[in-house]
Amino acid sequence: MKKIVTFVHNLDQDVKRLMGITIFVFVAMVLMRPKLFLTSNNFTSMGYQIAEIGFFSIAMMMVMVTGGRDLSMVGISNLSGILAAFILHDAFVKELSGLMLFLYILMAIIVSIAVGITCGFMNGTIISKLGISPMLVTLGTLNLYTGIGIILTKAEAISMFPKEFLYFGNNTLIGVPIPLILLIAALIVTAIILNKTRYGFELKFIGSNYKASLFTGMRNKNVLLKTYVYSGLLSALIGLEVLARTDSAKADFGTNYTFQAILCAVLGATNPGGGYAKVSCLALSLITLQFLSSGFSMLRLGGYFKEFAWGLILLAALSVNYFVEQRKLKKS
Amino acid sequence: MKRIIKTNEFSVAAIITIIWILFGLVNPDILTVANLYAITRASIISATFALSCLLVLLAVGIDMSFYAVGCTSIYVVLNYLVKNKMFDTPLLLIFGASIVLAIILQLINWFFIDRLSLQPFIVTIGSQSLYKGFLLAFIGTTYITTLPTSMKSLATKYIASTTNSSGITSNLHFLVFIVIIMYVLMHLMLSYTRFGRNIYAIGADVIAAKRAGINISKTRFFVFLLAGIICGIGGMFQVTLNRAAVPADLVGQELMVIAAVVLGGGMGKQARGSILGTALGVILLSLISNSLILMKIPSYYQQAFTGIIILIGLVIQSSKGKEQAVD
Repeated sequence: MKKIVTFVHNLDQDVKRLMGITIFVFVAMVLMRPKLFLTSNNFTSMGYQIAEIGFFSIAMMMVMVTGGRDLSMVGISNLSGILAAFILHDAFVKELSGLMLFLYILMAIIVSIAVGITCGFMNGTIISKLGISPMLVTLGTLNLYTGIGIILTKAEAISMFPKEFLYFGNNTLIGVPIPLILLIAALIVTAIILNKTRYGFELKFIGSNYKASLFTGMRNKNVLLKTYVYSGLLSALIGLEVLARTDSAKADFGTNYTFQAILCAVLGATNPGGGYAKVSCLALSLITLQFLSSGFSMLRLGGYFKEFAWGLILLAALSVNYFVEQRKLKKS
Repeated sequence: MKRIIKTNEFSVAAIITIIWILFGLVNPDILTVANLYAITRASIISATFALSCLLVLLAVGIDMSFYAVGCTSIYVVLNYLVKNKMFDTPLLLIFGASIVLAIILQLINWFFIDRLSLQPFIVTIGSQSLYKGFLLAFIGTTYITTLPTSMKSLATKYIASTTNSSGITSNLHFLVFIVIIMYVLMHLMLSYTRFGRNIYAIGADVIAAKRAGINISKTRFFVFLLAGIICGIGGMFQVTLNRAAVPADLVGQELMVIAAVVLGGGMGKQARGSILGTALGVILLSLISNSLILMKIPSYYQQAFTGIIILIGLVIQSSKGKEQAVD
């Protein structure tokens, strides 16, 4: 018991704060709807939902550390999903099975990831080589990628994929939804990249002071490029996950995921100005928001109230971050 | 002459002319006066909000909440009026109430951005969601189709009309005139008053401006105040032209207006944004969406096209910026 107490006491301040918030929200939701909230059904469905916003939040967090924003993530995920969907739909129509089916699915995954990396590469090149504000560039590319997706699908949804592929979006492995397992893997990988690799170190350095890192001899442009490619990769993975879960690919799916990703990252102690992020805090913030989201549906509070609450939480989180910063400054 | 050619506004004007001529060759209807009237009518709303967006962009940063502010302010006012059956309210009173509410909402933005020194983009994304959610969750979700009589008569006020060969009349709407007046006033303020020059100053370099003695907080306060006034007016225009109040129907389309402002050179870092640039940006984007329809290009090509134009515009601007930096 004592070991646990010392462990919690020695945790970073941000992690402590977020753990407190998560526990508070959990207790509140349990008290309000114990019969609905504490069921394994609920936890499983939350597990499915958390994966999509989770990947976007990780990508947004990485980009935020550089001080930029990636508004085109949703466009990349839809576009890569659509291209994979063409291949998968073809496989479904031809009623393939066995080795051929496996090859088709593999090809779909490879195409999707390739598209994601290419789109991210394009974002990163324009931003790092031309020095244009990331927000504006990704605004342009958002329109471009979504637009290409709309042109390819003629604004309709593609559906009907082989059920072997759909398995991954709708089933559990040892009781845990597969998308959630992928999310946990992505969180761990990102934490390792951010904290244990040279790239992660340079990323945080560049984010907090671009000029100083230039003089230190860091490869700024390279790091920026890699970050946007990573964001594109994660977006492509979500595209695949959405395909598997919803059995459809649309060009304009998930347009409010960008805002939710920003909210999640900011709540998760990421500094929007760049330079600081903690994966553990991001994970806690994801969990909190998911509890709130499911809790709201149980309380029958509707989508509009959720938007209101999300806006309120974002502003509150920003304010709290500000006051915490002020206190840190005063102490030192 | 060479100096004029180098400006960003000239590039945008050149792009507009080229596109107009090219599209005109494909479909001569694009070159008619009637089409011009149609384009101007379609741009009234985005032009108004672009003005507010430009103001905030020059001094502070990107504002994502302008549509939410405008829609919320007018809807709350109208909801109250319609519920109490006050259909004879004078127009100016409705304008006034909407403006006051919009000012309050924008000043909330000011509080977070200036007093707490938070990032404008994120704060305004939060307040956009807050206002829209507040409007739809607590005020109402119904379309208001019976407007006060004063607004109905404003909706059909025209200052000029033209009839084309097939006998169809197109009208130049009165509100276009108001928008032009607002633009001229704003240009005079930005270029010839100290307040206007202060706006450019704090946009370009806050620290230098502070050392020059400019009161940053006060300037930002008035910027948001003005932005509130313009958003309130814009919300009024939207409902008037639509002849119905649809709560928060504009929210989600902010990026187009921001693109127009940025294309016109509005990005504060080099303090080169100008009213003319914004106007040209709005015209360019309206022209594109209008012309693509007239050229029978399916509407689903529009988004990709807009994205490409934005990227081209940004690349042109950045290359110009580099040239000037070298000088």
